[in-house]
Amino acid sequence: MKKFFMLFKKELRELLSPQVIVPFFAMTFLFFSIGKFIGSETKNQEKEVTVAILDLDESQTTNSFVEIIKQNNYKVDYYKDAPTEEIITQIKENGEKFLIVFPEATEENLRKNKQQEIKVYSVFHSLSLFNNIDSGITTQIPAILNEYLSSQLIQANVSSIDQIFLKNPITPNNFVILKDKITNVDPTSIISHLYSQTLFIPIVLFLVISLASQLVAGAIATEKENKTLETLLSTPINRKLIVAAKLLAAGTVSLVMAILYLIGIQSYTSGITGESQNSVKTEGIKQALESLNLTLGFTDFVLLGACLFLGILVALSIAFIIGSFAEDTKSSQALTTPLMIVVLIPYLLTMLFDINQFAVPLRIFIYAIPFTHTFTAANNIFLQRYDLVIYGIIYVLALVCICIYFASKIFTSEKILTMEIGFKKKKKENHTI
Amino acid sequence: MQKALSVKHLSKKYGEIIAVNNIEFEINQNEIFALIGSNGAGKSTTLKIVATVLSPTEGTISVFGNDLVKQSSQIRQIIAYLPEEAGAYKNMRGIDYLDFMASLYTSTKEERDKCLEFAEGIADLRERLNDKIKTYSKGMTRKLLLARAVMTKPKLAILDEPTSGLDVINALYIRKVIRDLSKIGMSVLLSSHNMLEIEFLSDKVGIIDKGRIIEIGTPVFLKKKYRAANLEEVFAKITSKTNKT
Ligand SMILES: Nc1ncnc2c1ncn2[C@@H]1O[C@H](COP(=O)(O)OP(=O)(O)OP(=O)(O)O)[C@@H](O)[C@H]1O
Ligand SMILES: [Mg+2]
Repeated sequence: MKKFFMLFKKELRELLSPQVIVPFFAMTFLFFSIGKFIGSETKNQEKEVTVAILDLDESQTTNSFVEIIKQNNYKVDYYKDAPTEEIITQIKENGEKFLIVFPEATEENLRKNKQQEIKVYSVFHSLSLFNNIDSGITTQIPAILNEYLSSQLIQANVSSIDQIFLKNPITPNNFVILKDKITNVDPTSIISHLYSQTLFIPIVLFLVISLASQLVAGAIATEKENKTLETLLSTPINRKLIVAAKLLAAGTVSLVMAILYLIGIQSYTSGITGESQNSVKTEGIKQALESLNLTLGFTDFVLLGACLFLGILVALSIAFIIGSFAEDTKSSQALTTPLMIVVLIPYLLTMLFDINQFAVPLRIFIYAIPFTHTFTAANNIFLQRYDLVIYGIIYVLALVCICIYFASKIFTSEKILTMEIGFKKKKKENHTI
Repeated sequence: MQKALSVKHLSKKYGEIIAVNNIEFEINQNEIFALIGSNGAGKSTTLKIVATVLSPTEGTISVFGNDLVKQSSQIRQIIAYLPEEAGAYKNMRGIDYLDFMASLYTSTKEERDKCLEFAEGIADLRERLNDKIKTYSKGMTRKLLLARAVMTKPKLAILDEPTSGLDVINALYIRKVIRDLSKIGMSVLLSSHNMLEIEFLSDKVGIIDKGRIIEIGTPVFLKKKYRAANLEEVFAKITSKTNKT
């Protein structure tokens, strides 16, 4: 038993090297603080949904509609006797997302058993998932009203009613508002389309960045482990070229892998959704996207490409520095884990939330992570927040320069061989000498 | 004549540890100079510095008249370094490894082929050169690495324990290769624990202990001076003397 204990102790000591412990605590700390931040932010965003209603009919029926909507736990912002455009500007300013317009003669038409159209406007303040997650309201509210009307009609037991009218006395006509553009389209279809498109960019990006970082850090660690690095350093080859070759090779390999992943994912999802059947529908969405300015022009593509490229480059150069600390492949893996987390945070946050609505300190923290700019690039370009994109590019470019500078500094000096996270060992050696 | 290597007041610190402490020695052209000393004496550190892999904390070094710090790129062209316990890229074939390393030193295909031909002769691995390096034994890898080190016909070869871990036959073979190469113009700085090997191989010996060189001379001179039958005895006498004081 004692022998086993000795063995156990030895294994523990091997596992609990600083290369494992330091990243672990860094990770725990990050998770802890991020968890706290997100907790408070989701609370902020979970407030009850406000629906603006413009009542142009001002009848008993429309009043009862408002009451029913209130009963279903929506907060109602009631307007009457105003032009729709004015109200739209108003709710945009208030940061509200939905406007329902009951047109004139609503009551009268319904009395005559005529289907009544109501206009439902959805304002997209951002393109993040959580921000638009309640877009289902645009179908829920008409459904609530229809249910109410239908049950009344059935109670009244009017036999001559047209079945179609009985089921849907009210038909919603959907509009999406993005910036200063309005288009006549169902918001859920826009959102699902946007996500089937823009979800891929972050996924692929995340894959590329994490793969590339692990590859590049592993490449240095393997050279150290197999002692090929010392030989390489004694050759006349310019050491900056070694750095460049390693970065480029890892970048290429991960890009190829990511593309393969992407093809896999795409064929998988299109297999599920059966895209080809919906070609008529997607054509309509395409037009809607165009009228909302949700398509990318040439300069947009260039900007997007620059953001993606810089994101990968910054990851590679950070991973390169991290890899220089590792003495073998095992520790290089442990050391790159925190980097993965740092990539994961903006990946998830930008997908779920609109970062620009966060409190200022949190926003600064998130934008300080270089990968945030990569993940937000597509959305910011869609929303024409070009200033954010440009600042992002400048910031990340500066970071890349600094990181590559340090990476080649390490590599052109002896630090690449002597630098390690191993305080304990050194102290021990001190004692023996 | 110009010295192949001249080391003056060389010191090297790793943090607080003084690995090499103010050493001086010179190597003439065509000479084989051996550093001998116990484990941790500072041999590998000295060799790494001369190989431009580590930088000196203090002191000046010149290789064929080039300053080690200022002209390191020129020096890297004319030296070759074989680290202790070195490995090669495991997933490469032996021949590809030689080809890759040769391409780092040469600019034309002809030069590269010349290097390769020379290396193939020295590696002595024949058809095994076409196998992946991960299938090689320790001795085979060592021979491959030695061949790669000398294939560019360096003016100064820096060999850290070139025969460690090899059997008698292979060790003999490598010693012969080193001797032959020195005859055709290569200067050698090597380190070893094997005193018999040193006696056979080297023209001059430096005995290093705790980072200091405590004796330099030809094997014959040292044996005479310490009235010893072989270098092993010389080494024992010198180190016991310094340990007493
Ligand atoms: N990277 C390093 N960091 C800190 N100390 C080191 C490092 N490399 C070597 N040392 C220390 O420098 C001293 C000299 O080491 P060196 O490797 O030069 O010895 P050596 O003579 O080659 O020994 P051996 O015969 O065992 O190979 C030792 O005390 C060693 O602990
Ligand atoms: Mg050594």
